[in-house]
Amino acid sequence: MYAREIDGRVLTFGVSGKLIMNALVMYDRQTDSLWSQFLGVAVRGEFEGQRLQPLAATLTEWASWRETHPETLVLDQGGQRRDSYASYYSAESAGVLGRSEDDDRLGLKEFVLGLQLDGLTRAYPFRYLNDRPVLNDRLGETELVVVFDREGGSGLIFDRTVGGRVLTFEAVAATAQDVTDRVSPRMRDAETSTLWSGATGEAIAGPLAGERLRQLPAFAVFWFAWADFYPGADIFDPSLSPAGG
Amino acid sequence: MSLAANVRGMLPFFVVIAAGLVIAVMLLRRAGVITETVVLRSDPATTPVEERSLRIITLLPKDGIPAIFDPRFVSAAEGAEQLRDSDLVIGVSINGDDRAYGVAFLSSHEIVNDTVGGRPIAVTW
Repeated sequence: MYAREIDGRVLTFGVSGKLIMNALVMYDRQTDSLWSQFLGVAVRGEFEGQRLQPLAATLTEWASWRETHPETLVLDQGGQRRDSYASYYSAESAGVLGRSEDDDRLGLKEFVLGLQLDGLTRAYPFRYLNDRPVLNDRLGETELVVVFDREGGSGLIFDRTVGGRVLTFEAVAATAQDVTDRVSPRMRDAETSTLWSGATGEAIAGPLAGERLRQLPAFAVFWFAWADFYPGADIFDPSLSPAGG
Repeated sequence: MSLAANVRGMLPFFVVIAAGLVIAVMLLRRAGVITETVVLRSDPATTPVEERSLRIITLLPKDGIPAIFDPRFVSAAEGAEQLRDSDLVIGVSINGDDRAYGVAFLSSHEIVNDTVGGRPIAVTW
């Protein structure tokens, strides 16, 4: 977390789409300077060389934060579509400068989970993932599973080959106790009936307990952004999914 | 053999190299990765001058991941409806103003521009 007031000016930061040392780089809307979050400094533009001021923040579990800060406010996750991006989301234009060519196989402002693997790419539209919390798929030589959290609008993708064996996952239906206990998304593999955490890829109980799935790098992005960088990009097609989704 | 004849003889070789370079650039562009370099210089007024070369990789267009500029907040009770006990949050407390930002939700936006306890901050993930 950083202070936005720098040198007497209050800056607002957006996502530049660039990486330095594998960490996303911010840009400020006031001067278009680029800021490396990893290094804590501006690397290009009017503010080049200017350091970011880090501030104390706590990374913890919700229950723990609420207990110690009972009056806390919480960032509204359900109101995502009502924020100032609402008009941006529904508008025809996309991106800061607009676009010259549109790949309209999906809505420009639709969210996809984008996967890049071994020179291949696939975009998983959120509209398909909404109904499929656990999705088995294959890209190139890699068998994978997409775990999607509809409420948080986030997804993780794991390699579903463990010890040379390909596992087929299904979501574990939440019981009333699960809802009360609010346990993380869970899944079970058909081959061994081991219970896995969808949030961490760890096997919790069963024959494969202790194993951990390898996470594959994926981004949640607007479709226009993905299509811009990967023209003609492959889009997940539910009818082609090997395990029927 | 004369120099001119040597060069003429090697022309096909140069053409193949040039074509290879063009194709390599096209493939790199198609893969969506553009690499540039910046040189970061330390502030000479405060430290010995150091130069450091940094590689910047462009993965997505600007705003391909939407940061949040106008965050809305709910009470702790309503937050408990949206978050599970074990969900990770980033917690911030400034001047008695306490706020929690769900990490899973943050990962879809990367940056939240907020003002907490009167202080403008950027919550990043």
